[in-house]
Amino acid sequence: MPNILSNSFRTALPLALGLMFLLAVACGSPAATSEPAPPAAGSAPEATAPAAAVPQPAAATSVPAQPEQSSSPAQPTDEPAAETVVDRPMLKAGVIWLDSPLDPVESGWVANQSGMSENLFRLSATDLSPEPWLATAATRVDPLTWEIDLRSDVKFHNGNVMDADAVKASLERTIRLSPASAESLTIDTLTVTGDHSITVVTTAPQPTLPGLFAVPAVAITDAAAADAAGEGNFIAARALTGPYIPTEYIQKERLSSVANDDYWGGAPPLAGIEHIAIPDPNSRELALQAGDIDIAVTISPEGVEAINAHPGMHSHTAGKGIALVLWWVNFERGTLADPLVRRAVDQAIDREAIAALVAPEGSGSYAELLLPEDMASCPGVHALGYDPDAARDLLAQAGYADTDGDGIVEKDGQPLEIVIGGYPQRYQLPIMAEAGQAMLAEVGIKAEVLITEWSAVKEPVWDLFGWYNNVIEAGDPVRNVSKFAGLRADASGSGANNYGHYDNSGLVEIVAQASAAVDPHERVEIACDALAVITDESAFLPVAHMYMVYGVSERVTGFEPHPANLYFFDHRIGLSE
Amino acid sequence: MGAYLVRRLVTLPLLLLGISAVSFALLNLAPGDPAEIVLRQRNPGQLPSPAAVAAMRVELGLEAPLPAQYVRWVSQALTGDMGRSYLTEQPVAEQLARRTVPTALLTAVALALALLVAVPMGILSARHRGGALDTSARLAALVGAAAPSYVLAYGLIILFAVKLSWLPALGYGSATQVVLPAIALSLAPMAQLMRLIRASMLETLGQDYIRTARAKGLSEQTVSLRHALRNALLPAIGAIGVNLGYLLSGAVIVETIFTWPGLGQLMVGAALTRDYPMVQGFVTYIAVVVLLVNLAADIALRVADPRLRFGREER
Repeated sequence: MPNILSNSFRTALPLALGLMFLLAVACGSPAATSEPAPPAAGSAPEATAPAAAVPQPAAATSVPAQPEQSSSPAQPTDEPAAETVVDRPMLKAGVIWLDSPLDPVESGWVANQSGMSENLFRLSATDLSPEPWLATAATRVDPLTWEIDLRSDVKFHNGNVMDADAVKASLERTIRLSPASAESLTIDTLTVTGDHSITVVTTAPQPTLPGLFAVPAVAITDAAAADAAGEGNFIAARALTGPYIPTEYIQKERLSSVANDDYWGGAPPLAGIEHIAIPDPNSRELALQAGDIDIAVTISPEGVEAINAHPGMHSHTAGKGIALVLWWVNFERGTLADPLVRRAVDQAIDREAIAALVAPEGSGSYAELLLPEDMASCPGVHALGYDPDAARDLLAQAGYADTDGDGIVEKDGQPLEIVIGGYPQRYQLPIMAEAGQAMLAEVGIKAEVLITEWSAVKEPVWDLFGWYNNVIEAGDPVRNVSKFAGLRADASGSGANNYGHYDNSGLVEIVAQASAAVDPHERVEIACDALAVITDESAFLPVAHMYMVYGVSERVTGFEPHPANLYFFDHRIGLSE
Repeated sequence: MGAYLVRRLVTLPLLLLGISAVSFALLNLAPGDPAEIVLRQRNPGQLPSPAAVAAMRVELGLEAPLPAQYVRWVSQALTGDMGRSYLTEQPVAEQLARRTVPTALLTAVALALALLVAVPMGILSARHRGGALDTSARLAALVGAAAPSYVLAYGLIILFAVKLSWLPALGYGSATQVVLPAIALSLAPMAQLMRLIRASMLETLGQDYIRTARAKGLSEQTVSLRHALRNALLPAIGAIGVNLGYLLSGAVIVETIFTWPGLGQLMVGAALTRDYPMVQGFVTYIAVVVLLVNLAADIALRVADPRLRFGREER
């Protein structure tokens, strides 16, 4: 053997191993970067504010006023901080995503969820309707005009006062930089009418404007500070108002915050919250059980069982459906355009049993109708219900029979085959597809499962397509029925999102009534009328309403889970020693 | 040696071009409109309008024909610009660079662990061939090589983090946090290297020069460590190069499970969100690393083993 070889091994191998060991010991923190650059600004025209005074409300409708210092659980309370930040514990939370930028105009979800940003209104924890947050009241003066009263004790994280001028500037910035918000709000003018009151005039009637103000992208920011900080430097602006101040954000990795001791509701009992992105649900649940995190946001039904069996922790849910899993029905492909076949499919699938699979007790509930009971109780509207014999009868009426004895019914020699589509990112959808396939086979319908990309929904390749989406948008039942039924935002007809090509012209007239309906009960009635049409036509097949389920260490105090996935943490959450 | 090096260096860019072209084409053949995916990611719960999707396609440069998109990507990549992430809008190269350190650290520790265990176990197993130690080691190697890394990873977390509370289940930033992911990642290459070294050691111990050494009256330990080991380790050099590719690809799963902020976790997130520039950048970057490491391993093997070097040059 040549000497070079022996020398190589005598020196290089131990050296390499030693270096690797040193690397491991010296493993340091990853280099942190500031928030990424926001996208290019939109070109929506800036709203202007005329100087003219706004008439006082006549027979005005209003969102109930909230006292500025409320003791309601949904509202922060004034409790002075007894400890300094360094004495207080830091809470660690495992979340699924930390994807969206912190600047609300670029999405707003992460900032809203993490207790950093706040809106004029938020969705109530009890009935998901809009309730005052940074506002104290909203009064509808006429169909196009709203007066908003603001809290007088709110400061941005940078110390600037949130007054009417600041709110006006914030809303103008939202309209300027978020075209989707501009389109939704339809704000014509914003007028400051006092130190803490503004008047909003819209170009179209907006009876649920407070709900639209609860959307994360419309969170209130210190517009001047945010603009001055420039692109990619939103954290430095300290332009939000919530109980936690962001200090470092590495998208898809972690988001750090410290307590805002100047918070209008009182200083949080925590030093801050460290949010860690743990996309894998098993890892998130195990990290909680190992004590690496104090709260796991969103856990699976299996995780609920494991966490409740683990000492020192438990699952926690608000027990309300914030999301809906359903099947769209495709009217364009022909097979399900036949109302008899559609009803047969509806009655052949035991959706209640499938809901028990994808949303077992504690993580969701059977969705008889599109909207959850908390949002719209419609006692007179009922789904057809599971009845395979009735399904077989309907197929026979439609001219289908199993003539060749292969178990699949035919008509004119053509077997009855449908495609059940879905996408894999939501675990419920493949389960639903396979269960539906088995149930349809029982009545003689051959179903093929197509788990593919979401965008396949636009292609004429499916008859039923699974979808998971929020059902609490703006806290308005009519808005959510319209969204799921594929209507345009102004209910003027079928929108681009009517992927099933459902002839929803029958709904247009019903939903159009909502433009003048301000009373929440009246809006529920309108929503129920629309649901009755949809249900009667088997136009959509809702399966389950999903809850927000958390895994929580018993050290966590003051945690009240909100049913909406918009607010994970507020200023009351703490951590005991 | 020089001619060999030149030949390898010339084929390197061609291989890279081929890999990047294939991955670019495959990514663009995959279903799903990136413009719509970006809009859905940025506005969860909202369905993007066709006008917004069309505007986003223009913004992302997706309206150009595919070959034109590829040529543009290559010309930019040659200047170090691999585009921007659809999702975060950060430069891809910057994110890859930042994530390289955690992945390199994890890979290095996993490789060190694999070698620290595989080398002595391979030697001992060969020396005690057929014995209890050999049988146990071979059984352990079989399990290590057969068990998927995600099963090992969850098993390690449940045992050492949840049940025993000895080590953290996830995270990055302290020495203890590297232990479990490094073990999970190292077991497969450890098993493979151990079996390789054992087999090589057994072959070497049957060589004439070993018999001569024994005839000289040298102890079995001296024969094994000073005469047999040097030759027995030669195959391991080549295997390390191959295993590095495995470690980098295996890290995709392990990093995701342990929330280790490395390239693997970045890749999984990018693939799930159809962040094509990020996936394309990752594939190209990993291809460069694997090709260079294999080249380095080949060169090291030629430096270490004169038979290869001289054999080539004689032809």
